Parts: sequence; C-alpha cells; structure tokens
Amino acid sequence: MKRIVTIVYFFTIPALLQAASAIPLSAPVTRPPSGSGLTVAYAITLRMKKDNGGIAELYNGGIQTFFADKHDARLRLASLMRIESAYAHYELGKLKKVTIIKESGRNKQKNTFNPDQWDRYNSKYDGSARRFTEDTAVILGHICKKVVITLKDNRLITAWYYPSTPKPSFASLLPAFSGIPGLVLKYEYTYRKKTIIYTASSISYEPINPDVFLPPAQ
Amino acid sequence: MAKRSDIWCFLREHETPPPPELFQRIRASLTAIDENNRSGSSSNNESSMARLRQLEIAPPAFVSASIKDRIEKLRKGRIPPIRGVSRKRWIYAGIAASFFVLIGFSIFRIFVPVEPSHKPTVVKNIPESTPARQTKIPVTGDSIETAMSRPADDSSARMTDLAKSGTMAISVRNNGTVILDGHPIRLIDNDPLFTFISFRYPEIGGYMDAKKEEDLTIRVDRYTNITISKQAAAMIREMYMTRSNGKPTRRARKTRQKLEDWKRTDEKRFDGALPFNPIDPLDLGELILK
Repeated sequence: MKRIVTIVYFFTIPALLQAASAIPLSAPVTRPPSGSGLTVAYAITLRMKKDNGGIAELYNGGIQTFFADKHDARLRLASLMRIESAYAHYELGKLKKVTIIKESGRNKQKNTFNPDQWDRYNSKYDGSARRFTEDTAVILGHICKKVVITLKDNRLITAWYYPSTPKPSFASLLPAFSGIPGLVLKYEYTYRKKTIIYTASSISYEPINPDVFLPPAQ
Repeated sequence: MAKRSDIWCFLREHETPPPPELFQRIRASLTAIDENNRSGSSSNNESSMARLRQLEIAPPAFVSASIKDRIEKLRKGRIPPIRGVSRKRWIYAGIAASFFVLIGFSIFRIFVPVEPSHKPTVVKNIPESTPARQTKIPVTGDSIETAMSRPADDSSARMTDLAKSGTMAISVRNNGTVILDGHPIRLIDNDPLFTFISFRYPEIGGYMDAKKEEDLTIRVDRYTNITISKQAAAMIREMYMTRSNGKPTRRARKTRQKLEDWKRTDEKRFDGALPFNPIDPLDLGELILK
C-alpha cells in the first residue's frame, strides 16, 4: 500500500503540475480583425545543410514586421545587416504611393513609387499561379492552409495562411501574396537547396499610433 | 519524562569517582559474609543476596502474552512498530494534503476561465518551437516611433529598463543608442553591424565573450528582438581577438575583412538604382542563399 501511494504520488504530481503550467493564466484571446490595426512580426530563420551560412547569418534571426491600419501600412526588416522599411499610403482604399527607406548605414536611401511604378517594380509576380493544398500547419494557434505560389519563371514560394478577410495592404507590400484569401503567417523561399523562412511570432489587432506610419526625416 | 535518556546523559556529565578505598572495603565485607555462609555457623548470617532472591515477583501472565502477540504482528507486518507511528502518519497526511491541493489547483487552472488582462504587455518574439499563442501588443501608448524618436539623452530611464532586461536596445532612427551589458553605447550610423565591426567600442568583444553560451538578442523596440545567430556571434567574437600587444590577431583582421566584404556585397545589391528590394523574400533570398 505504501509503495502504491508513493508511486502514484510521484507519477501523478509532475503530470498535474505540467498540465497546470501548460495553461496560461491569461488565456490566449483570439480576436477577430476589427479593421483598426494589425501588427504581425515574422521571425527570419534559415534552413541549410552547412552550419555557416556566410552572409545569410547576418539576416538570420532578423525580424520583418508588418503594421497596417485603415490608410497606411508599413513593412520593416530589422536585421544585423540592415534596417529598412517600406511605407504604403492609401486614399479611399486605393494605393497612392509606396516609399522604401533604408534606415541604417551612412547612406540613407529613400525611393518613392507611385502605384504604376510599384506594379512595374514587382512585375516578376505578374501571372503567378497559386496552388491551394490540403496541408495545414498550426501557427500562433491558428490552423493555416498551405499554398504554393509559382512564378512565371518557375520560382516557388510556399506560404501558410490563416483563412480570414485578406488585408489588401499586405498584398500591396508583399505582392507575392496577392489573391490569397487570408493572412499569411508563414512563408518560405528555397534557393540552391537553402531556405529562408519567415514565421509569424506575434500578432496584434490593437490600434496603431499614426507616428508608426510616418517615414523618418532624412 | 519523555526525555528520560537525556536526563541520564545530562547527569553523566556530573559523575564523581568514588574514593579508591571504597572498593577494598566492600570486597572485604562481602568476603567475610561469604565465609560465614560456608561455615554455616549461624542462620542469622544468611547472605543478603539470598534474601534478595526471595523478593522476586513474577509478572502478570497477560503481559507476556501481549508482548508475544505484538512481536508476532510486527513480524507479519500488520502493524507498524510503536515508535515512529505518529511521525509516519504526519508524513502521509502531508503527502495527501499536498496531493489534494495540487489537484484542486490544476482543476482551477483548467476549468475556471480567466479574463484577459487589460494591462499593456511587452511583446517578446516567440521562438518557433515554443507553443504558439496570440499576443496583444500595446500600440497606442508608447509606440515604436514615439519611443524611438526621443532624443538619446532623454531616454536614460527607458535605457535603464532595457539594461535590466539584459538585452540591447537599438533605435531604428538615426543617433540610436545600444545598451550593451548595461552600458549605453551610441550606434554608429544607426547600423548595428557597423557598430560591432568598427572597434570604436572594444568592450563589445568582452560582452560577446561573456555571453558565449547564451543567445544574443538585440532589442530594437517592443515589437522586435533581433537574434544574433551563433555563427554571426562567433565571427564578432573572433574579430575582437587581440595579441599580447593589444593588436588584432591575423584571424581577427581576416574576419573583419570578411564582414566588410559581405556588407559591401549587400549594399551593392540593394542600395542604388538596382531593382532589388531586401524586404522582398525572393530578392533577399537570392542574395544571401547563393
């Protein structure tokens, strides 16, 4: 009897503790997009056979953050190598201009595109095909569906998206994902047997301070 | 009375040896009595030992039966020994109580819904391997640009907070400041890599060396933590290796040269009028995955 009690105690208590600790005290709240704000941070990682990825190591561990509200959007890459942002501004729901600013380094660059110029700049995505598959992945608690995007020149981007109302500004700043019915939470591109992966690490639907969308003064 | 043995131990410390002639006198007296017994000269001279023998009192019969019964039960393991019974009971009671408390706590955590906190939460980047969860990001109050556009000298309190958190803080704006092991260091050209390889802050090498076993993180703002990969961290460490005369080693110079070459390659690709955009996954991937 004594042994049974001891065995039950030492096997049951750790399991109960683990179960209790696995449940967060403030349970995750899945809030539907309210349309007021969206912030998604994507962690950049690399998948390659060799340990040393060369120049890629200076981007490995970086973060790409997407901010969007009703009239503006911003996509910012922050890595050891460089910090750069693309700002998009909308009027009456239509894209008015895109500004790309290199924020790090001595030579701060700023390029502004009108909608036509921006379309030409991203012409490589014109005519790309999307193949929706049955594969799924759970990212940030969302069940995401897989889609394979094939460009005209047969380059492939694999993405996992959370089916929801798509955010047009996301597709404006990342044209590869136009036509995808939802929010892309993970995407990857393989080149010469090495893969760069962007995985969403946090999402917020809170309103965003308008200052976030103001390009920095030169 | 419960600590009777202790009393005896205590008394033992006050032991006084008897006078040496006492033993000889006792022996002489006993010898004389014994000789009288042998000679049988008088019935009055009965030895005191023999008289004492008559005082023997037999114990009641139920005592021996009870002792035998208890020993038998102990052998069979039916009852625990008398000593220590209460202590073990307390141990089992404690185990049972803690067991029930844990069960209650687990049931509470599992079944009782918890209202989401409305307090602002600082966002940390969650590694891919950790259980996924949606995180609320406070964007309204102290947002990225407002926080980062403060003058560097005016942000000492924020920097102190970041220093306490053990991460480095980098402004995404010009004249940003890095918190390096608790010491604020101004970024050169708002460029993290250039700040590392410029040798303007030799203490960076020491910091990187001290944190060899840990993942190094640069805190950009409350939305963003850049993780320095182990390979990149190793290169930066190598770059700060010096000889006994304080000059960089050959390996350090070569590593610095390599990092500078990579920087030039990156600038050549993405700066200027060429149609490549580092924010685009294809453009970035085709440079860095070559």
